[in-house]
Amino acid sequence: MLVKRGIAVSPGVNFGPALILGTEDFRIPRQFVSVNAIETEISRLKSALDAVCEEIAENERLASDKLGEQYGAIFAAHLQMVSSPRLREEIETLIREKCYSPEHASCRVFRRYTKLVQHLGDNYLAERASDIIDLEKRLLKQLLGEKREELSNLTTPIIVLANNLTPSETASLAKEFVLGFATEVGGRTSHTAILAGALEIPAVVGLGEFLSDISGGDMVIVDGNNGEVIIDPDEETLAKYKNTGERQRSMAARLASRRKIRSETKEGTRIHVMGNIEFPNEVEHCTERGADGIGLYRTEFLYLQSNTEPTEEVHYDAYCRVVQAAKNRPIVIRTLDLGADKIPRGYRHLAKEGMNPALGLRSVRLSLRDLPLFKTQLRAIFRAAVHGDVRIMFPLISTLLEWRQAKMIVGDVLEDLEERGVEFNPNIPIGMMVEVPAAALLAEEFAEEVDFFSIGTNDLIQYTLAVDRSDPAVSSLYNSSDPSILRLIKMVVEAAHKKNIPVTVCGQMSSDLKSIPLLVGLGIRQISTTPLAIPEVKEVIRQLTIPRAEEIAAHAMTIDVARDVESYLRGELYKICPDLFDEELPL
Amino acid sequence: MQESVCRQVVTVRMKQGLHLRPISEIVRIARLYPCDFKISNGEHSGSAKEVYDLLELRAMPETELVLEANGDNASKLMEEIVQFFESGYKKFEEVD
Repeated sequence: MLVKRGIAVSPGVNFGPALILGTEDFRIPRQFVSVNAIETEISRLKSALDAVCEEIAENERLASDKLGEQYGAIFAAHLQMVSSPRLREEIETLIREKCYSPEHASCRVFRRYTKLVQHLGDNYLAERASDIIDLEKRLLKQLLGEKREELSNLTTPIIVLANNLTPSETASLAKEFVLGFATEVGGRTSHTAILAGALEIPAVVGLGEFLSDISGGDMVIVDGNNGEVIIDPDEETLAKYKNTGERQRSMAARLASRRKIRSETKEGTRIHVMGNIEFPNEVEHCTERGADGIGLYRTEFLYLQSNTEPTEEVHYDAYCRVVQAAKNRPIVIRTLDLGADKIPRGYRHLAKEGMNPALGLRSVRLSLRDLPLFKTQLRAIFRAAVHGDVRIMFPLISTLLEWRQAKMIVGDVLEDLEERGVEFNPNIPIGMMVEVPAAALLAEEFAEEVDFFSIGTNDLIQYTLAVDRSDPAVSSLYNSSDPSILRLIKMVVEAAHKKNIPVTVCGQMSSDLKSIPLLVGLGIRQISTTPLAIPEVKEVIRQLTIPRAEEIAAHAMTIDVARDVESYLRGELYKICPDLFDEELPL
Repeated sequence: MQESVCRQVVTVRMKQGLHLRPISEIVRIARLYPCDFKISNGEHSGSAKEVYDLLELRAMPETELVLEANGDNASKLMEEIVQFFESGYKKFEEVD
């Protein structure tokens, strides 16, 4: 049993056989064979190894003839590796002694050598590990033959493990069979995180190197609550997780049954709980949990899904689908927030290598630089706004000039639409994300000009504390309970109240239950959270009174260390709704 | 027929240490001879005829390796392998 710690990005617990994406193009169907099949399995292994040897020898001949002998030599090395008596012996031993299937045994042995090569010196050598991975694939192909289960055609549930998930890799997966994700790299905003969130399956990212410790078919637990991945768990651990999984499902069912109950505090103060979405079909995930609207519709995936820039119609269609599904509930569309860790192909040239992407050309800065791109999106939004309650917000606004520039572009777009004579709604609220400390500090000035604020806690924390939360070396310094963050939020809320404009909190903090009493106590009346967290957030709100929340916020503001704020908030949450806690998890 | 045991120490000069390509060449040479040929790096030791044994030596640049040949044509094979470590490896540095 091996436990790896990473960053929890999508809650829930699941377990199942591992599928290693990138090195496996197909799934290994069986981990074990029966004792009396061992001899047959071993002879199957032998013929597969022989077939691979023949294949490589043929390649060697072809390469030597066509390209010259030094190229043939590459295959000669491969041939030595496959024909090695030691390799055969080791795989055979695993089949004989552990009753592993030849596929699983081969995978294990090759994986050990891959790891050896990866750790042999520098990057140059590490790259050579791909030679071994290639041999492993060849052998598996031979062994599995017709029984090969392509990723697009999975028939049984699996846990997907990868170094990182690219959009194309995830696109090739039959998603109904994916029980969970775990990746070596990535942070809370990585593609994996977002996708797992959208699919509502447990996910852990930023685990560091672990794929060479695992073979396809190994049992794996993904604990998306605690950010852990457990490889090859012992019976006791597995039983514990089975139990937790069931308890969580029954709690989810109980909360879901109360979805129609209004989100308000005990004395009846309405707190709107909305959902954050990526894809139009997620609106349903929100409404079926009783969301009051869509507080954050991220539009990046329109850009990342294809290699070409989305046309106005592509935008318009997506927005109309969201509007239709939301049935008159408000929808806040955030304009393009690309850059940093998500740069579409066509814009890579703008992001200079070696520069700091978090401080570079991203988000609204990119939109203001590429006006045709920006205007295309804005036109589609104003057109879609004819059909429902649509609002716009600009991400990463840092200065008043930026805000005014964006508003000017809006003016241009409205004129264009007028000239074109198409149907559009020019009178929609336009607000901004507050996620740069500079914007929070000038909140009063901004509040004079914007229709609403939405506090994006993820970036606000990253920029305030100067911590890249996707960097495992410093991610522990990233903390939403830091007193500096609480003060900034308070400033923004006070500025909004003074000018009488709405203020929402979106971002990770709004799905962190212990922060809910604090946020309400600070004066927040609108929360936008991941769809999965909506029922629990509502439940916390329903157990709360405004004076109690204000008391909690006031006390939290007097604590000077993030860690102490955190444990105080956790303790208060426990007092407010003890049954939301899993009794086996430490507080 | 010459029956002998011989032993010699060489230094790894390959810029990237003893990796797949030079290993493959050593295995190719060693397999041409019937004698046993052992290479050791400290406590790690393995047969020169086995790719995976040599990988496990984890021989980085400047590592000193102990070579031991035992059996028919031992000194001839020793000569070839030593020559490889001294200069023969160079042609494998240029490819890739």
